[in-house]
Amino acid sequence: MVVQSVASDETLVAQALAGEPQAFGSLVTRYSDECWRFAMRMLRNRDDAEDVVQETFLRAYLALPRYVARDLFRGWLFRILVNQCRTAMVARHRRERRFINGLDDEVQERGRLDPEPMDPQLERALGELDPLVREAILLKHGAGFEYGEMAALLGVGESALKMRVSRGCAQLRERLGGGHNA
Amino acid sequence: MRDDVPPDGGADATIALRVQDWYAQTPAAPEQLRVRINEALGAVARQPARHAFGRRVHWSSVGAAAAAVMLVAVGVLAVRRARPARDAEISEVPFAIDAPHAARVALVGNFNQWDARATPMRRTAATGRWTAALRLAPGRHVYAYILDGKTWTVDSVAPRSGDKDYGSINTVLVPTGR
Repeated sequence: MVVQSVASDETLVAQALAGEPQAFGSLVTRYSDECWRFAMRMLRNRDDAEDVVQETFLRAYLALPRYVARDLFRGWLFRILVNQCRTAMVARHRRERRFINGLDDEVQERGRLDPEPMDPQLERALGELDPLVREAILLKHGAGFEYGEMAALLGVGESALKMRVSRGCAQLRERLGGGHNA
Repeated sequence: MRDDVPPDGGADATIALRVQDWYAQTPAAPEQLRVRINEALGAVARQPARHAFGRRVHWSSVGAAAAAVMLVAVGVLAVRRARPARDAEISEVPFAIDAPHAARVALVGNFNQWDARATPMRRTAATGRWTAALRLAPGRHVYAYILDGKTWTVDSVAPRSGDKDYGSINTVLVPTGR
């Protein structure tokens, strides 16, 4: 039986800070799927999700000296990811306004294609939610964060987040049961 | 069942489980993304700025902020991907920085992959001003200057955008084309 020891996030961060970039590469391997899932579900656009995940890791790498070990690395990374997703959504909104009237429609749509959408009704209903509500639901029920972690991550009180998630669930129920199913 | 599912077994729990299932079925990140990330990290690690991790540090007073300049380069990709530049829209953009005491100055940015050797600037002896000109497509470009191969600094006259995450300053240029 081969027992492999797995370095903790904190160990890998310390190694990266000591000048071992491959240690950060291990963190990329560890968290790239998680970041990708959230970005894809939040942005609903592969190109945007790829850019956001890449930029998240770049920002994390360069901000590593400011990482405080008392925070969990995953939550710290997600804080960057969430902010990048918000920025990407604002940029996309501007972009879409600029290219109104169908100009470059083909180019814009290319990144949105998801060849095999799973539960398209839910996907559509989530897409219709306020982005902050969608974000809270994805963090809670998708990424599995506790409300306390989400509060630290988003800078919003726990009770407000519980309200946000509850309101979002109610809206989803309404949409999924209210004739929005295609 | 995960412990983040509402324990009441009610309607919220049903929605929560459905979101969980849908979210969990998201395909894994494409391998090319990990390659992209590692290439980008490698490019950053090769920059002089990477000495910040417990080694030599050569930051100017504003140079620390310039590290963040590199970070937003990826954001530019989305803009470029959304709207490929047409030749007619590409314009020559002048860059200039006053650095009379520098022996050499390089312009780096998302347009030259942050390569310090790609765009050396020319010095005007009388004024100590360093200049370069690049043909750039309209869009958001992020850049910085490297003085004497070690000191990163932002452009003191270009528009800046605040980095809300970490309070740094980026230099951003948005040429509008002809």
